[in-house]
Amino acid sequence: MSDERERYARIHEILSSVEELTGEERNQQLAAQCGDDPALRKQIEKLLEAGADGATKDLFSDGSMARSRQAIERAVDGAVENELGDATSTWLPDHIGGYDIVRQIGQGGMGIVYEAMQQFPRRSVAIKLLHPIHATANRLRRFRREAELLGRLQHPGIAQIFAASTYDIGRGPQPFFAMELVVGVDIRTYCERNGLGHRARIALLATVADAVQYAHDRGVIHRDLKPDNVLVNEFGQPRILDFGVARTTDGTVSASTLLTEQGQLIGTLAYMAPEQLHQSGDALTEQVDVYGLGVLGFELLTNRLPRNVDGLPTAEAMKRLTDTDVERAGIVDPSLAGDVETMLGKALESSLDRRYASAADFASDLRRFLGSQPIQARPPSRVYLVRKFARRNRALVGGVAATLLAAIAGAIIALGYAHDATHRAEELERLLYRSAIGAAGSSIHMRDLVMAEAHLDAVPAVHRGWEYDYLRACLVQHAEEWEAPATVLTEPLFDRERGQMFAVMADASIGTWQIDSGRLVRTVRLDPSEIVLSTVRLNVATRRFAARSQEGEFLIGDLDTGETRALPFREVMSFTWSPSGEQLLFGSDKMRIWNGVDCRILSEKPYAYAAWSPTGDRVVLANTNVIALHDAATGALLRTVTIDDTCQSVAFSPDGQSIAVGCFYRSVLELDADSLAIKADLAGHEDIVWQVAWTEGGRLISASNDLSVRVWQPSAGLADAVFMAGVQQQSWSPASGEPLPLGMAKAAALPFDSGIVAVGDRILVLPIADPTVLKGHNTYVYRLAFSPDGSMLASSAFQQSEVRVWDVHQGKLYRRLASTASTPITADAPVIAFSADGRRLVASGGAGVANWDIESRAIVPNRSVSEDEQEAFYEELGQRRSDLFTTAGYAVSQDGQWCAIPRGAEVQICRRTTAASGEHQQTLHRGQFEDRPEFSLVGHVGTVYCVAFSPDGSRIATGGNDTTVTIWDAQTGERLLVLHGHELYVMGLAWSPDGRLLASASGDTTIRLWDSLTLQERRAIGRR
Amino acid sequence: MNQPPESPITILLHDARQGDAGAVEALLEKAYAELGAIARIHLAGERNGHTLQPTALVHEVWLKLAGSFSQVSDRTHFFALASRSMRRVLTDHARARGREKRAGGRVRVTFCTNLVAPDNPPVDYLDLEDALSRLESLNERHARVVELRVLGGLTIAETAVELAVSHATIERDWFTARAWLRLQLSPEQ
Repeated sequence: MSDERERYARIHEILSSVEELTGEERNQQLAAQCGDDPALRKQIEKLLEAGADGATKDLFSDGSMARSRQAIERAVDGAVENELGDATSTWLPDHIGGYDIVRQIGQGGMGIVYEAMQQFPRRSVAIKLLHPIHATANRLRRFRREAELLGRLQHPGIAQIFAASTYDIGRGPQPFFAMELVVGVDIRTYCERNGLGHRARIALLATVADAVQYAHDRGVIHRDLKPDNVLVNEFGQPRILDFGVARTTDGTVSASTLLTEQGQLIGTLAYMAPEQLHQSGDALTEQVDVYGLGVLGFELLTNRLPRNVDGLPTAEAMKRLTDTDVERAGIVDPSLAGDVETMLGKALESSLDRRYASAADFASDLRRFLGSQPIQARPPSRVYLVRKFARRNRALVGGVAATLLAAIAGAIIALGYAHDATHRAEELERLLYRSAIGAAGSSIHMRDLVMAEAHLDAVPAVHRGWEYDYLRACLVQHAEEWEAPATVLTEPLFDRERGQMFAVMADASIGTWQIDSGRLVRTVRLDPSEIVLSTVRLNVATRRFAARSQEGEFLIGDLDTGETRALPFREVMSFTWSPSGEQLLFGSDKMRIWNGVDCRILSEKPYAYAAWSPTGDRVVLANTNVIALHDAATGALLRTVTIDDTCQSVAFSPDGQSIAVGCFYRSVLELDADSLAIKADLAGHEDIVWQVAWTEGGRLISASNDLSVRVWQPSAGLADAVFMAGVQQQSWSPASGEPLPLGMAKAAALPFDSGIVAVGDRILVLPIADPTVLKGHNTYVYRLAFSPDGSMLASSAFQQSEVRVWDVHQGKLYRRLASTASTPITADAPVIAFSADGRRLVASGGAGVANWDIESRAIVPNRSVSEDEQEAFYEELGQRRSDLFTTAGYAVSQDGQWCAIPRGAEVQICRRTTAASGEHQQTLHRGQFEDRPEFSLVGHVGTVYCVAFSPDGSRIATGGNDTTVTIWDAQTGERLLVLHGHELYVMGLAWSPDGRLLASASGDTTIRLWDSLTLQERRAIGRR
Repeated sequence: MNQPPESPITILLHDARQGDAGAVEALLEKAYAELGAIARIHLAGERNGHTLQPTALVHEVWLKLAGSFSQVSDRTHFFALASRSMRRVLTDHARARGREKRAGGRVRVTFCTNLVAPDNPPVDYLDLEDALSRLESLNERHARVVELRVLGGLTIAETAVELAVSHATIERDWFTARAWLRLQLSPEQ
């Protein structure tokens, strides 16, 4: 190799020396360099020939490289320009009032900003021209009054407003401001560009807060503080723009921002204080700006927003803003834990009582921190967090729908809709429907059952359609709840063989539930004067239990009779049965294992928590912050670690690879079962984690004092489900009379991939199973077709010559239909259709048409395709011919009157031009529809690939590059519901003939079934 | 373990320029992941899955990761970084294609060097990758110049800045490397 390297180096040297020479000069040089190596000389000559940039068709020619480069530039710059809006199309006025317009600086929701030269006195100013819609008579009056006030604000931290007036450039009088032209960059960019550290950023924030306080002292509230409104000049002096501008234009910020692009609106929402979302402008206090300063500080210090609402629809974003707590800065960046987190948290408090009362208070705390003095803010107590959670939950149930309605009503009025009152009422009702559906969908996505139900109950009955049924069906599935006569005190235990569950309850009984029905079938009484109920540990295999007596003795009891006998150990605790039920681990002064006859010592030290490995060969012990792993047979200590939190519960995963630890200070840890190294630190709980358990499928369930139960995929590091248990009543221990911890949930794994949680006297079954996903294709799935009776679904996939038929009711593969050499299906995406009787399937692609008998899987060779099959078939073929590889398929409604055609990220809905005869509707093609769409479906963020009308024509489903399936109102084009689940683009959609089931095919190789039937309805028709 | 907070690409870029190897690594990983996802979707969308336009991929990534950051020098730097990830993505993709058709052996994946000049001769990407690996063993900098120019779309001048050598050196490197590649990839070879 080094020879070759040297030779290449030599060649490069020679080429470099002769490349620019020509003719004889080059020959001479070549002769001199290559000497007596003719092979080298030949090679150099060939390279010189190949290297010459003669023809553009040569690989990597200068021309093509330059064009490639231009293409990149154009694509990048073009896109950036599009993001800013089409600046060139905006007409530039010569002058506005007494100001000569120089250029446009920017534009946004409220209006356009120009750089201008004031005629007298001569100086550069910024002119902010507001949209004409802000110019009702009332508002203009208010505008003038406010403008006068603003003119008096003179502070180095505030961009001064010189004048405010109105000007008519031909669209009616438009209010405008002339203000100081600030040269600088926004505060976020400034901090990044100058690489400011945390302390410098905090100091800058305090300076901004000073300026805010100055304005507050003069009765002016900003209401719209965000990085774009705070510029920093070259000397590091921050200046706040647009002070009070929001108020002059309207009572609320939201009405003006709602006019902006969706993305900008969401961006603005994230900076708004919670009370801004639902209070009118006049009711707002200076504290909204304290909140704004908090968001600003959070963003400057962590580079993210305290509540992330990126990419959410408006309704969901608003819900998220009202509904979730702000993120804790210390979690984003551990170096901010402590005082900084506490100060930001206090500025971002939803409750006005707890938020800093003024910008000055916030500023002085920031300065105390910088001066290493104790800050005034205190971290919230645990009790407060729990109360806040409960309060929030209650408030939301009633509040969110009303809040949304108010905001939307405001928007409509602000938009000055010219419709009559009836029309407006209808419009509002539909908006409310969409908002409630969106919010319910989002709650179900987060498995917040209480919220989802509240939203769905608020949905006006008149508009309910597929999406309502679908969400309701999700909810019913999720809401299974078993009865329990009293608070459940121990974690539930399962007997797989008998299909039963056992747990000890506060009424001093052992309950037995039948798993399939959820019914309590038996109770065995215990004597609470003898047994400490919460220490009872059941053993199903040998039908025994272990417990501690009120005197501290070790009791062994009979599960069927409740009778006990005492063993000679005192002050016992933490009983844990081995998986076989033959051995019992318990603690007193030492940890011992009892085998029914005698005892041996496992550990010389006592531990509060213990768990056996699934095979029973190892035991993990935990106490305070120490975790120890022992060999169960020999007692040998295999490994020990300490963690940063205090253990409350340990559990081995079913595969024996991991150990879960629930902790006092809110964390849930996943440890490697051999090394005890931390594999995952799962953050999310807001209070003590009482218990952890695993499902058989390897998901982790954690139950917390924050009243929530979370279900985790530890590898993903995220909770994929949050169940709000919603228990708020206090329980007392019947034995000691001590209050039990609020919401102390007991989690356990069910014998299927699901979980069960007992909270108070409710036992909730947590279905963790996903919606039906058909897996089996090993490549992108492209097309789908339902059989006429809806019992079968056929699918074809990218470049697969085989078509699959699925049993819809069972959710399983029914037939694989392979093409043969004589009928090759070779297309990228074979087109498929069922025969009218549902017994045969036709597929076409490339050179072949295959016609299978589904039952026998045989290709029917000698039978011509019947006429009715052809119609169905060629409808698809016609579509293919016209759109092959150019655009995705379009769809025609069942009545033949409407056509939906994807165009980029939108779908155009066109009306039929020629009168419909009805009989040939299946061969309609898009040429028969008007070019001018009636309306478009707007909302996908990537190319739309597929579209389908529901059988009754009321809904349209679309899918595309953004991986979502979206449901639209076919009459109005409004977006109703976005379904998440696919991991890659959605290429095919099909509605079942009864319109209840929607199937989607995706590049992620799966097919998903979105079912609007409830569990009961499904069982009734034999669907799994 | 807590996921480290995701740094915005602008910060990564900044750190990468300060010579933070970790930031470069993070940036490459990010670019690689984005490119991979976009390549898959892009190809699926094309529906004929055999033509790769790396320039198209790289802008999409650029827009997605750093669209708001419009300083030209940073853009160039980003493309330079992305070019390496691009190579990995393209190779992965071409090999995956090959595996899909395991019986038929190697599948041709055409590589269009640019968006606007279809007059360029089509090249099988795996051939290009093979040649590039060989060139790498002969002279790393020459291979890197090709990567930057062809996959990152950098000009000679930008390549010189990126690799901290003179304009003339890159011109000479490019001349030799391109001539060598053309010979390697010409049909007679």
